[in-house]
Amino acid sequence: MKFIDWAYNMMDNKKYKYSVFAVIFVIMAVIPLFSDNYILSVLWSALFYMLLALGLNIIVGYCGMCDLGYAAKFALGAYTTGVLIKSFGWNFWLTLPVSVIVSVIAAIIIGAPTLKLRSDYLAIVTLGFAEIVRITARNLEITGSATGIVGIARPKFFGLHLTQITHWYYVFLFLVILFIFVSNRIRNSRFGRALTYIREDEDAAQAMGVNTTLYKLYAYIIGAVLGGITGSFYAVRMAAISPGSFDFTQSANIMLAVILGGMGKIPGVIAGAAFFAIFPEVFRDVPIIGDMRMLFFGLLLIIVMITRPQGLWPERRKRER
Amino acid sequence: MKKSIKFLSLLILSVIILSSFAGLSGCSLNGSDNKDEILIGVLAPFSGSNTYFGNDMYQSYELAIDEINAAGGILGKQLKLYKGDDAGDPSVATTAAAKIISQGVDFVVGGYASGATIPTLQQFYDAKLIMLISCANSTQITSLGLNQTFMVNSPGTHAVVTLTSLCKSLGVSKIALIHQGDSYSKDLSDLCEAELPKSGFEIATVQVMEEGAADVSAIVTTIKNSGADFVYWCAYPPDGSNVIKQLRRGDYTGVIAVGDGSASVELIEGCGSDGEGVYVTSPPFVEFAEGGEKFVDDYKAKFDMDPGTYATLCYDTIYMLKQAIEKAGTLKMEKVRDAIQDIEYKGLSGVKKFTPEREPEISNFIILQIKDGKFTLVNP
Repeated sequence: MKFIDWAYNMMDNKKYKYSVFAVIFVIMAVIPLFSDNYILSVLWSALFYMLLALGLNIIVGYCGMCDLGYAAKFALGAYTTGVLIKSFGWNFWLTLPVSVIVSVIAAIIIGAPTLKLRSDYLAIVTLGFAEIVRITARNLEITGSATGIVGIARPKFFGLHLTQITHWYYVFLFLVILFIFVSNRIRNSRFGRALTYIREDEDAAQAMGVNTTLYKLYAYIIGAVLGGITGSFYAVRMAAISPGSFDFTQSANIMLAVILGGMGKIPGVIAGAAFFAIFPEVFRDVPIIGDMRMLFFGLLLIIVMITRPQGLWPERRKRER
Repeated sequence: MKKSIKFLSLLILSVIILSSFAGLSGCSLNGSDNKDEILIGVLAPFSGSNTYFGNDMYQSYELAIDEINAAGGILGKQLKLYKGDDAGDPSVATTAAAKIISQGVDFVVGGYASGATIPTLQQFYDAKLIMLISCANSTQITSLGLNQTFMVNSPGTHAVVTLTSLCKSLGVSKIALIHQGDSYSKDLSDLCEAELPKSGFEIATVQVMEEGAADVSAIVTTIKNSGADFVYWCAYPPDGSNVIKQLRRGDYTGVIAVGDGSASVELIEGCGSDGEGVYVTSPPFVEFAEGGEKFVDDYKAKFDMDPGTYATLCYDTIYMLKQAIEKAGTLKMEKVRDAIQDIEYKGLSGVKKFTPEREPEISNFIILQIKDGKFTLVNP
């Protein structure tokens, strides 16, 4: 464990931090040159979970709110894009602002009445909202009811038709970098520090003049928007979406990735998501263990929670001066 | 104590890291340069709640290729299967499809749940692979218009035709439908709702049952009050047997029928004595197929279990592919594709011919009834 702590400190050190990240992203960027579609597909799903985990991290990690229905935000983005492309023939890039607006509206509708209260109420409401979104999507004609939307046209990017897994790998890699940038900027801003304050002690934050309700709502909206954007890209990447992809298990999976990695810590959340996406794939072909991989996964989670209750890579905020 | 936990976690972590290297490097590369065998990818659920069906499909394919290999293979080439686990989930399925493609397979078979199968079809199309879908039968598959995708199983529209003939022979008039809101059962229910009134039947009510709901008394009451004399359960066995039991215990006396998703022994076991007399619009069960006894015996001898619902269709899929390749005389995709399009294949599940939309022309649905705790054939 000494070594792990040393490695973490290394990564937290300002001097090395950026070079380490730069090396990681250069490696990520050249991977498609050496690997086949399967590996890219697995890495793509890791990137995809990273996006979702980064989005949820703003809500759960930064602000300490418990959102059990993140799949709904992601579903709203996916369905907005899917419906606009399929039924109204929109260009994909034009659907992005719409899905952002839809996410904001949904977040305000859910957040405004519940965020005045303690976090527990939000957990229940988000859980209910996720089910409402899923069941509505399952029953509306325009969302293709239970079968979902099939054959969503893949978008073009400056004349390049994004159809190959390599294209999507780079698109999602770019999005991950963008989300990391956004998360990092938020974390280091006055707003981010206020969120941490709320997470650590809401009453004290309020006493110090932080408008807790408003800040929580902002955090919730930002998280929802990131989820919506991820959903939009997911819809065009898969070219088919169905209500089955947005059930409670999905919400729980994203939450798991965030908690496993370490709430609030960007590299931790990324590591958690990567681990979560890659682990079951890798174990699929290993004999004997392959059939019991979920058992191992569960066992590992328990051990991690016993030995590192803050997650694999918890946040250690330096004292602000 | 603490030390041992740390040690254990370190051990597990290192096992994971080591095997991830082994796993990833093992899965990559290796196209089929080896041209003396034909590699067939199998996309099916080998984990998750439909594992039973995935394994049954794989075993049926395996039985067929072992027979073919023993008899000298196709065009002198031996067949080999390659598993891709879709886990019944769309995004896992696309990964599995990428994995199958990167193995350099020559053909793809399988496809259980429509929701997980549909996103992969474009991938196989782009990779210039022929996909023979053995089980999934959503009408959405045809709407994609991919000319390398063939549906071996009859689509839901055929089930409705079979259901209509059953209703006519029983002389019922008011029909109640129950589905569970998932892709398969809602699709089937919607088709029934649209098609049955055209043959003069009245849809009394359409009920939605949440998956796993224990108490269905509201549904039972509504159905009884609607005056329906025929109930059609469109979804799967565990909840289906619950509904049937509660309908019978609520003194419902009309006819009960279930769709092909419930055509398994699980239903009989779940219903017990309440299941007597229930009709099933079923895919071609091997027990009732002409010449099916040999298949059943071989299957039992090889895997020590009974063949499942889709065993015949999967078995036929491989033999149909064999006939098409032999007719084309080559493994070239375009040639084999055209051969399948024009095929007239006679197998355990009846005669297979394809419409221009690449759906089967002839319905392979049969009607069964539960009698003395067993499925018996009602119509030939």
